Amino acid sequence: MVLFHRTTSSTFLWYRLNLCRYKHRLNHPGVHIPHGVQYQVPYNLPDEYTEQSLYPPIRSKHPPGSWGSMESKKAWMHFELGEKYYRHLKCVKERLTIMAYQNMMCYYDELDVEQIDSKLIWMLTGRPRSPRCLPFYKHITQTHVTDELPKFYEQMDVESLLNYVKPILIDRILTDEYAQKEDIPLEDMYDKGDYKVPSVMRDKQLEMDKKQTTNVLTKMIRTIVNVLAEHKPYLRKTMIGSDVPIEAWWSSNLNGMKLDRAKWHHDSNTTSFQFRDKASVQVKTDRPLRSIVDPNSTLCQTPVPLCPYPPPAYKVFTDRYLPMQIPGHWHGEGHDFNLLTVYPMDSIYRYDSYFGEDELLPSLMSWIVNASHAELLAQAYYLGFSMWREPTYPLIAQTILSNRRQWIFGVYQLNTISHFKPHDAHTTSNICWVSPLMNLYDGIENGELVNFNDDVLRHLLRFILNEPTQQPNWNLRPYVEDITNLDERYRKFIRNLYEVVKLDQQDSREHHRWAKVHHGTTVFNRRYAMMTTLFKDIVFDNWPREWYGRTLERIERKKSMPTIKEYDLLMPVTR
Amino acid sequence: MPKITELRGLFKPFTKPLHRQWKWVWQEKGKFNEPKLTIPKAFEGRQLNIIDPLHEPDPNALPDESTPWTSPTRHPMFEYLVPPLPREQHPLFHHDRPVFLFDSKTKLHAGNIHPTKNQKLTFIGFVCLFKGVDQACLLTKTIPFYELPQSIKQNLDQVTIPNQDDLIQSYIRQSIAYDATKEKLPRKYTPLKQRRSFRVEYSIPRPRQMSILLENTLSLCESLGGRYPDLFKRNLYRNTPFYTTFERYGELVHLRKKNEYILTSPTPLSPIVKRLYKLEISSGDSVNENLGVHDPNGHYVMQGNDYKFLNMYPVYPTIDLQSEQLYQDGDEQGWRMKKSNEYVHTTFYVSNDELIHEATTDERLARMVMFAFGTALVQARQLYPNGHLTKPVTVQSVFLLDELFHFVVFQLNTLNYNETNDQRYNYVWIDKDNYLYDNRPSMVMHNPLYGTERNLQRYVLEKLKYNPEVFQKFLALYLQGIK
Repeated sequence: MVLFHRTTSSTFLWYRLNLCRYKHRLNHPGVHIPHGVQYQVPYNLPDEYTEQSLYPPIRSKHPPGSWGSMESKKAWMHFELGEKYYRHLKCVKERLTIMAYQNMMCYYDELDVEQIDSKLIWMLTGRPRSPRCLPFYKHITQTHVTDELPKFYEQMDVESLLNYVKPILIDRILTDEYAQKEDIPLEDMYDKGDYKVPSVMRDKQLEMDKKQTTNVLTKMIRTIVNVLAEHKPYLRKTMIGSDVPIEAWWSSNLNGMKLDRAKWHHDSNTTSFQFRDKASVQVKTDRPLRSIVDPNSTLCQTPVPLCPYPPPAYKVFTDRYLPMQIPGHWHGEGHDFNLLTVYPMDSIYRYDSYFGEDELLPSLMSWIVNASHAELLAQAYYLGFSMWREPTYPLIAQTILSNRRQWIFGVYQLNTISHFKPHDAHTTSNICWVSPLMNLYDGIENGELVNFNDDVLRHLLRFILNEPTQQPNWNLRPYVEDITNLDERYRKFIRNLYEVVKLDQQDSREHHRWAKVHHGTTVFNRRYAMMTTLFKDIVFDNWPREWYGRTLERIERKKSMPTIKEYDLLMPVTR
Repeated sequence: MPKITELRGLFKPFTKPLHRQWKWVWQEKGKFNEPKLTIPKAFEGRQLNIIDPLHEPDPNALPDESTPWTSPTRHPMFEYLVPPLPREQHPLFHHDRPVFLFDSKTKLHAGNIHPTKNQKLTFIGFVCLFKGVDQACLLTKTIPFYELPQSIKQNLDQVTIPNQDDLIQSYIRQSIAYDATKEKLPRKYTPLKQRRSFRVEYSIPRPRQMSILLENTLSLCESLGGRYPDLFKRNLYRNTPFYTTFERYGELVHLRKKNEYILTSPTPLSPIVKRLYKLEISSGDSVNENLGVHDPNGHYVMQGNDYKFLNMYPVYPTIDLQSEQLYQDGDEQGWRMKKSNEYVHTTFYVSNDELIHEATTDERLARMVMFAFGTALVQARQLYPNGHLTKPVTVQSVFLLDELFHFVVFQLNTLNYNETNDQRYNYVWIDKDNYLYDNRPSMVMHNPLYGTERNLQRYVLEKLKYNPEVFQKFLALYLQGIK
């Protein structure tokens, strides 16, 4: 060490850096290298001087698009985020996984111990749990609500169909509601004398009601679809599911509200919401429904008023959850467009949701707003749109709430999903049309339906007869690349990555939330890291560092650093 | 005893820090307080018409307060301390009339010799083939044929639905890979004492997979209603009870089952074989091969002549049935008799076996024969209450386990099971082992693809080997009785 101490000769320097047995001490703070590591200055540099100084072009204050009062730096940050997202991720499945991963990212503390820090999210369900919550749901979904259904439904003539279908439907409803016997185990056929807790019994009854609603509504809708199938081939090709989970995640701007919970980690001025509910019946097609109003019309520019109250005021609370976009099925099934979704509204009469006759309709409206928005949002993600890429055409959902007896119909047009932008940045809003609450029948007496209401059936038939555009002349998925020519291994990687979201547990913490038991990490993070490590060649080549996962972050990439000469050739100083 | 996690749940309110405690209380018990109308003192004495801007006071706001509170004598938390009621005290317990119970778990094993140490396993595989079905046939006085009846075979490929194979494949994919249900599945295990552990998986439970597939398939069949409007007069019942009892040589046999799906139609199925009596056609050299084509009735009657009932002597054929005293009398078909014309068309037996090897094909077919017989029996008793059967009763039955379908057609010709000399026998046609798709990954040995959800989904999405013939048979059975 002493021998080379003050040597500046380049040969010795090279020896010290590369071959000497002390080379491992090179970066040690105790090793003093005078003047740093110095490279030889190449002699024959071209003359780069110009008359006037050259600068990179000045960036505009805001990136393209409408950003309102968002500060410049933040707007550019969001813009870059979106660019990165779309530049590196080719497939929707990849994007969905990354969206989940970003919310589950961990950090390492001073002792390099991994800390779980999955983000808190406001958890929403369709059923509102507080009165007068419609303004809140309007605000977080950017929705303008109208009291009546669009006019064009009334132009559809369904009378002959109605006369044909009505007796069939009545017969089938009565079969389920009246004629069918229930299978009761022998042990439950007599009273055992135990104390029946009223709340438990009420919950059981509610579950049975929901199940019955699902059965009856599925049967009704399948019957109508089958009656029409011979004449409307698209109806035979629809995908019908019952008890279908619907989930959606979005981040919403706080608009100056002081709220320190559930922040989205990219931007402390936003919170994130996760919607979770189960639809009784869902009918999906592979073609979109026609838009109801032009997204540039004045109706779509109606401003949505701000709601200044925080979510807990409406009994919305946080939880940790793997954020997911599920419009009823996993990605890859061809039927990506909503035709009809029915939710069971039996639970609206629970004590914490029923606030009197006056509040019933607004509560149902907020349910429709919330559920339709969530489903369309997830649908938009499946079609390649996202918070950074607005849908290029409006998406339509037809939503029904029903408890077999009472029905309410809603239509939703989704125009915008970039809720992370501040309030003044929104140029369009989403529109929801809601019908009044109607009775299909008043009750069942002596095996007959009392006061069967044709109007409700008419509405239902019109919803099902609303035909999707068979030959859309626009690109349905403009931001989705064709991956058929992609490398086989890359496609396997995408598939495996998505299976992490599909098949794994939400969160490994099986204990109750208040018990502080720390496992090393969540299952999701482990499996994600496993996949990125298995396919590390792809990840190293295509992804930025922050999506590497916990294992790959620690593996140094073995690449040959360019020598000085190669470096000069690769990046010449001249431009 | 409650587990420790359950106890934690019970003490939930007391184990949280204050803010979460408050959150929980607000979440569970919180009420939205209506601001009350307060009248300023200055207005009190005056005769002013004061309008409450918020709400009218609702006299019926809290109905719970009007009902008196009764003290819980037995709390569900401590219900495990209470001894269960003995079965003998059940009001349906028959003290003097035991029956032989046949339910959906009963296995008939005639011919299954359990090898002792000295015996060798040779030939047992051949010997015990289909003895269970023979035993069921003996119990129900039935003659089996291992094919679909000619009249149904003729209808195969007669009617098709546009894109039917694509649609069925998309239903398979929906039921196994694309449905977004995410529930904790029961632990996977390997048979034959292999020690392998599998990770816990969260996906679609198998009953749901099967119900998605079956409901979609039934709905696809029903979409032919535009051509055959009678299809809309049919009804589908779900999860209905079924039981019946019949007497056989002085022994009471009780059949009991929960029917997953029953399809009913307004017209009864016509019998497959019109002639009831066994004909005196001698089997042997004079068999006319073409008889089956020209006269299927005669064909079956003649084939039936050849059938030898299983000789189980000295064992009773009811040996596999458990003696049971807790049962319900009478016949139960699953619905209140609302309509005068409602006949069972097809019953669908959705198996809940965890593994495909949990029961053998033979055991399953034996169950199918028994229950199809029971269904026909109940219907016959309702049609002919005097016990004199003037026209045969026919029902169909479909077994479903994952991708495996068995089709059974049963024709009931007699209600007399106490003697064999009356020359009247029931007939059953069995079409077994129809696989809707091949090479499904499963947990059994020698299968390189283990049946985890992941492998199953990859198989379905990437290399599904679909067999179109199964749906044709299904459709042909579904359209029986139409036209």
